[in-house]
Amino acid sequence: MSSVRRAVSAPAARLGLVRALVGGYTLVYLARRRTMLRKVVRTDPAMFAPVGPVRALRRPVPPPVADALNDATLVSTALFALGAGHRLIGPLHSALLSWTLSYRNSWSMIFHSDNALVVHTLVLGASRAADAVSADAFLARGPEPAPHPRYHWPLRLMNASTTAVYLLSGVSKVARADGWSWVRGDSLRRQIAIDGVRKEVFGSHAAPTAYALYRHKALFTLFAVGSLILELFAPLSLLGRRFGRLWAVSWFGMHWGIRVIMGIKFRYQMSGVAFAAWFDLERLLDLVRRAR
Amino acid sequence: MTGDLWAPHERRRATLFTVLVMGAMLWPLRQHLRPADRRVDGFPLSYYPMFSKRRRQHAHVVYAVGVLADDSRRRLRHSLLGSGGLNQVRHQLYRVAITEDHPQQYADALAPRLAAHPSCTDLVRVEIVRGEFDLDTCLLDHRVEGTETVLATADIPRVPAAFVIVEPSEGMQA
Repeated sequence: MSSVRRAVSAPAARLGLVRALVGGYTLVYLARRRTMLRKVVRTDPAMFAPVGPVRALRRPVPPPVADALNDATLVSTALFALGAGHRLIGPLHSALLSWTLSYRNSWSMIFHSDNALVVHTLVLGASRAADAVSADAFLARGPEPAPHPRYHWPLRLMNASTTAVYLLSGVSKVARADGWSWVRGDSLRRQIAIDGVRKEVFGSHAAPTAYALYRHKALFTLFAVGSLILELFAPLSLLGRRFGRLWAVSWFGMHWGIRVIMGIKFRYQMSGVAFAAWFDLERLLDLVRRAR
Repeated sequence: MTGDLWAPHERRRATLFTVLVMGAMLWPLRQHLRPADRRVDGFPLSYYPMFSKRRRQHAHVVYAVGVLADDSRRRLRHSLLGSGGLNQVRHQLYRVAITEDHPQQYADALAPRLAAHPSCTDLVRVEIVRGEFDLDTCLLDHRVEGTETVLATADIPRVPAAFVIVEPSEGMQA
């Protein structure tokens, strides 16, 4: 295999492990929200503001239908995580998850933290992500496929879509009427403040760190400059694997920082699963094999 | 076919899919070219409008307050107002009270729900208020107090004790 081809190839196990991780995360995420989703779909229909594929609807579907679709998504998530019947389940699960999360976001509030999860699932569902580390591979009982570009491009596309999310966030910050003033940190500082005030008036509590750090303006300038650099230069992380991993680890840390300072949980990112495609996860399997 | 080769059309499909996904991801950038009031957010494709908003020292928040018989006041927890979490409830309240200008409608619908809630037995009235907060004061003094403007108010219906129907037990029968 030439060095160029090696560089654009990946083992099937790496992609398979990423699929299992994304599927496993989604399963826990949806299972823990099943009761909440049942309540949300029974919200006053006047609050319905469809987004994404749900825009095809003029009014909400009857709650029992929405419940059935949520439960079907849970089942497809489990099969997707296991890698069972992937050629059918992969695209079906992508469609069901896109629908379920879009429907959940169609009640006057969009939760942007789920965007990356939907796109990553779409990519995994459309690729050969169950050629290894899957029920399909176990039942086929064949040798593990050789590293191939077909296992590489989905990982690259997942990484590219992740960088796009951050790039869009960065562009949104500097495309405001007052342009680059975001780097001063005032907007970030006030965003944290207003978030804390909202929490307090709705019976929750602002993060104690928000109060503690608020007086330190210079710190927010530092945070603002740092996050903006990581966002606007996000596509550069695709140029080299080491640089990409460093970028991914930086954002992983940033999301935990946001959790501490603002009390906002970007669960997919904080779990690390959102950044899994940057890493050679198959090495974990080697470690397990050696341990045996 | 060996494992080293692409299946027919596989590579072309992968390229096309990649272009479509990345094109779709970046498509919301065009929202920045539109006037601010005509921009539309979406899911899962977004231009992340929350980062475009200008944040000032003074901020307005619309929320609900419960009033007790002695006129003391208590801010109502989001879970009493609706499901889906704090931010969803906040957006829904803002939509009805400000965007659609029907705060009374929200208060009237909320009052009977509060009447049925065990944690709200001490409330006699619910108010939808618009609070103005000086963010610096709130965060530096660790005290979230603002100036409230009442947008709507609704009495919480209570069943008078005299009208409570008591099922007669065997011991009560003559």
